[in-house]
Amino acid sequence: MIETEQLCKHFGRVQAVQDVSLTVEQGTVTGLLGENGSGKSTLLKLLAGVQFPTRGKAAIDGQPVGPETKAFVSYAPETNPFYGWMRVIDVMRFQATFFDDFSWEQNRKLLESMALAPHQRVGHLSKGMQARLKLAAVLSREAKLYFLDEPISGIDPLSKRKILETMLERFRHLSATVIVSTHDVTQAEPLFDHVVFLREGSVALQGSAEGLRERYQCSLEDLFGRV
Amino acid sequence: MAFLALFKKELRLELPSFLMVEVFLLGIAFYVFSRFDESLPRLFLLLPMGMMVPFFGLLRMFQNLRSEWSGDTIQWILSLPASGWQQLGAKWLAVLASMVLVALTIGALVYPVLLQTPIADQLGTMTPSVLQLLTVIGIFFACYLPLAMFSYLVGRGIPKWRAPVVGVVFLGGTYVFNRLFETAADYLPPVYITVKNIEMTPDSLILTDHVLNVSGIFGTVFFGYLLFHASVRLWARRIDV
Repeated sequence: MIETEQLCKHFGRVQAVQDVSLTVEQGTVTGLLGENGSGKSTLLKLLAGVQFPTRGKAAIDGQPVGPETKAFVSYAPETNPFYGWMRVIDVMRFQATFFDDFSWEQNRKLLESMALAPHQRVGHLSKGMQARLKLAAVLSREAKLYFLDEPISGIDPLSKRKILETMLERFRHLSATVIVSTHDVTQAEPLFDHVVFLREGSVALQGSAEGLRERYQCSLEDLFGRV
Repeated sequence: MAFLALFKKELRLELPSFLMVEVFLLGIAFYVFSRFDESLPRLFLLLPMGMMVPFFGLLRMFQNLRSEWSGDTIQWILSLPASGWQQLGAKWLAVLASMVLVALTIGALVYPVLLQTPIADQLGTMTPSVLQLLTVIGIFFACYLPLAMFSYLVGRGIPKWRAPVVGVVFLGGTYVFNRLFETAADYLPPVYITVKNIEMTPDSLILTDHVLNVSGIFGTVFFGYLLFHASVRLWARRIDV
C-alpha cells in the first residue's frame, strides 16, 4: 500500500506538488491524470525515490520511500533513461543485476512481442522503440509496484492497444499495485481501477474509475476536460 | 555485484575520452620521435605531458557527471537500489583508472628516452624513489577528484551562477588542499620519507635528495573523504535542476 501525507515538492518558487495526500490500495491500478505541469511526473519521482520531497511524507508498505523501497519498485520515467551506447541486452543485464525479481523468461517474451532485437543499440532505436524498450525493462520484473510515467507516449496507435493489453494482463497476473500517469486517457481508461486528477500540483478529484463515471455520467476522458 | 556492474558501466563511459587522449599522446610522441634525434629534447618535450594527467582526470569527472543529466540517465541510475557511495564510488574509481592508464602510457613513452640520457646509469637507484614519489602524487590526485565531483554538484543547484560558483568552490577547495598538504604535518605525527627530485638542465639530469613529509597526505585524504561524503549527500538531490 502506498500512502502520502501532505507531500510537497518545490523547485525554487515553483510548487510542483502541493500537499498531496493519497492512499493507493494494494493490487489496484491508479491513473494519474492532469495537464502538462500538473505535477504527475514529479509525484511519481517522489514515490520512486528519485526525488526528495520538500515537505511531507511518502511510504510504501509502511516503509518511508528510500533505497530500501527501490528494490521492489519498478519505475519507468517519461524520457528514455538508458545509455545510447548500450545494447538492448546490456540494458536488461544491468537491470537484472540490481533486481532479484527480474524474469529472463518474461523478458524474452516481451522483447519478442515488442519486436526488439537483443543486439540493437539503444542510440539507434527510434523514439517509439525506445519507449517499448523502457516498458520491456520495467515489465520484465515481477515487482510489487509499478510507477509508469507516460508509458505509451511515442508508441504508434496500432501497437498501443496491444501493449496496453499486455500490461493489463501482466498487472492482473502479478496482483501488482500500479500508478500510471498519462495524457492518453481514451486508450488507457480500461486499465484504471482508481483515478487521481491533478491540477497545479494538487489533487483536484479522486475516486474509483467506475464511481466517477457513474457520479458524473461521463467517461474519464470527458471528466479530464472538465477538471 | 551491484558495484561491479556500476564500475563496468563507468569504464565504458570513460572509454571514448580515454582512447582520444591515448591517440593524442601517441600522435605527440610520433611527432617528437620523428622530429628530434637527440634524447634530451625528446625528454623535455615528452615529460611535460605528465602534467595533463590531473587535468584530464578533473575534466572527465565533470563530464561524466554532466552526461548523466544531459542524457536523462540519472533517472534510471537513481531508481536503482544502489547507494550513492556505490554510484559515485564507481565513477571515482573509473576516472582514477583512466588517469592511471594515461600516466602509464606517458611513462612507457618517456622511459625508453630516459634510457638514452646520461641518467641511465642511475636509473636502478632512482626507480624506488620515483615510484614512491609517484604514489604520493597519485594519492594526492585520488583525493583531489572528489573536489571536482563536489564542485560540479554544488554548481548544479544554482544554474544561473553555475560557472562562477563552480570556479570559486573549486579554487577554494584547491587552496584548502594545498594548505592542508603543507600544514597537516604541524598537527599530525610527522612521517618523513626520502625521495629523489629530478633537476633538469639543458644537458643533464641530476638527482637530488629531498625529504617529503607524508603527513600532509593524511590531511588531504581526510579532506577528500569529506568532499566525497558531501558529494554523496548532494548526488540524489541534484536531479531537481
